[in-house]
Amino acid sequence: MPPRVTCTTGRESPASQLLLWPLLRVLSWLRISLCLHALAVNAVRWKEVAHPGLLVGAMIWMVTWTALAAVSYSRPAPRRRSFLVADIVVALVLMGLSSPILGAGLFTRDYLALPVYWAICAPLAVATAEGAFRGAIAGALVGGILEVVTPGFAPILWSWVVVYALLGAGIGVLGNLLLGSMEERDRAFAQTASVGERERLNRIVHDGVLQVLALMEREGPGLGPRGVTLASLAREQESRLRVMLQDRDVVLPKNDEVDITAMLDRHESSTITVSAMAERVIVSSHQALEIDAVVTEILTNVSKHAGPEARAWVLLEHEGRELIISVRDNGRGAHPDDLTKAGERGHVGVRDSVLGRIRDLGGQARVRAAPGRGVDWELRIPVE
Amino acid sequence: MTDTDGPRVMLVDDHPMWIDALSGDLEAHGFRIVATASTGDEALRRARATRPEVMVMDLQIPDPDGATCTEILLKEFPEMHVLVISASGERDDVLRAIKAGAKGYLVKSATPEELLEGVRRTADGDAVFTPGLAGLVLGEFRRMVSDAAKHNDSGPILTTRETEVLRRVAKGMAYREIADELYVSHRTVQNHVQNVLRKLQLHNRVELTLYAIEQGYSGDAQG
Repeated sequence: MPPRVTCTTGRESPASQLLLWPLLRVLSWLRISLCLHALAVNAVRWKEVAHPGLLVGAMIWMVTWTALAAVSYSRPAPRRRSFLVADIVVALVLMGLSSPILGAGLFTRDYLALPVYWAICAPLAVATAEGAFRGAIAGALVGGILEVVTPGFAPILWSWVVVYALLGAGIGVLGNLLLGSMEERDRAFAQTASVGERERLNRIVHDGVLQVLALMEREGPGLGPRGVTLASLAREQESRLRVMLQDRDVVLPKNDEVDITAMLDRHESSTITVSAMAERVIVSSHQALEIDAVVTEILTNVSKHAGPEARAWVLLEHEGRELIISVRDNGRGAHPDDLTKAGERGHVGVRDSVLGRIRDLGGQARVRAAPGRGVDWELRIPVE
Repeated sequence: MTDTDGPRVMLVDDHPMWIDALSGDLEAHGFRIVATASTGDEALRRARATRPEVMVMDLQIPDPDGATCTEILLKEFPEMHVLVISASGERDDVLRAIKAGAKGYLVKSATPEELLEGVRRTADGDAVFTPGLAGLVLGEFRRMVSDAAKHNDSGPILTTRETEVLRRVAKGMAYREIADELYVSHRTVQNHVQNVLRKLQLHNRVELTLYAIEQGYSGDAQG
């Protein structure tokens, strides 16, 4: 199979990290701003704070952590996940200490936590790096800790949970969208590039190699026995090359769908002719692989048992919601029973393995065979 | 050039060695090569000047491509017989040439005998139906039928017998074998194949006309 152009996908891929990186740096600036804001708020309510010494300690810790986070998120660190967990833990501790350090009276007056809005940065970082779901969970945790340490059901308390969880989810979704569009763009680039390259190669090969091979086929037999051998070698190579040029694999519409025509075209050789319609027939890759496996099996059987002179024809038809694949050869043929007897003798007969596979696809297989008249398969497979 | 009164043939191929090989073979069997061309432009100019009976057309030639040349020439000279030959069988191009009225399609890897026979049959006005072409035409009729069903009208339909014949051709059976299996004469099989091609080409002309009329109407509406 020719190598395919693939794109690395998912959040873990280097490309995704490269895209998420600037987002995390933006978050660092948000964190610094909210840190300054928290310092200002706490300076204003300084005189009413229950434990000013502890507040100073907490503020120093918050400033230090802000600096650490800025450094950590400014480069793609290999152990970022552990830092994310630490980030959440720090946010939880600072939020949880709100009531003890500020004093219940001061805190319950306006429910502005010790780090004020600074704590949202940790869930946002999680959402950016890990996606919407984990972002939402982290947001709910950081918002919910106030509810845990402060008894009572003041609306503002549970509103923290809702707002933080939604923000986490929102940023996560935004990241997903960005990554998605980037992947889509990369796929389009890769596709355009490979199609262009294929066309270029097509022209070169068509202008030279194919023509020479075809000429060798034509003129070879006139040059005696060695010429005949040359001609048959040229024919073999020519049909392989032609299949490669026709390979339409590079124009995949989506990852999980393939053109079954392109797949079957690969069987084309000097002894096998593949006929199909001009349009592409898109099926799920699972179906395509199974169908291709069945056709390969039948054709292998032809090359093993039909005799050296045998030729085979593959016909693909698309009728309504059904694919009809016919594989016929003009070889020695067989007695219809022989195709099943192999199974009884302990080998898996071609008939059984073909029938089994086709049954799994919800289709039907029919085989006609007679001694001296080749074997004629008809496979019918339902498709969307 | 020989002075026989065999069919007048024109060869179009961008490869001189192909033209040499093929014209040698054809002349040895009584055909007259009246012109050769290696680009689309040349092909159009020389075909208009020499009016060959048979045109052997390579699909991959410099602008305009073989399928387009076939379309243009058959519109001007409907009586011309075109045999399409190609090194890499791009199904879309082959179908386009066939719908425009080409008589058949062969790959360049066909044996010299097959090529010769193909040109001979084309000169006689017969269809040159290879298994690959049969599969292509079968698929095209299916597509037209389902398209027509979407627009609630009846498209061109193959008779059961025609489908049976076409499927057997696509599965590599010789006319003789098909005739035996369906209990008909060799000639009947040939007629069916011929009919299918005519139906396809006729439908193509009807579609083109309808398209032209539609375009005309919308032009009037705007003007």
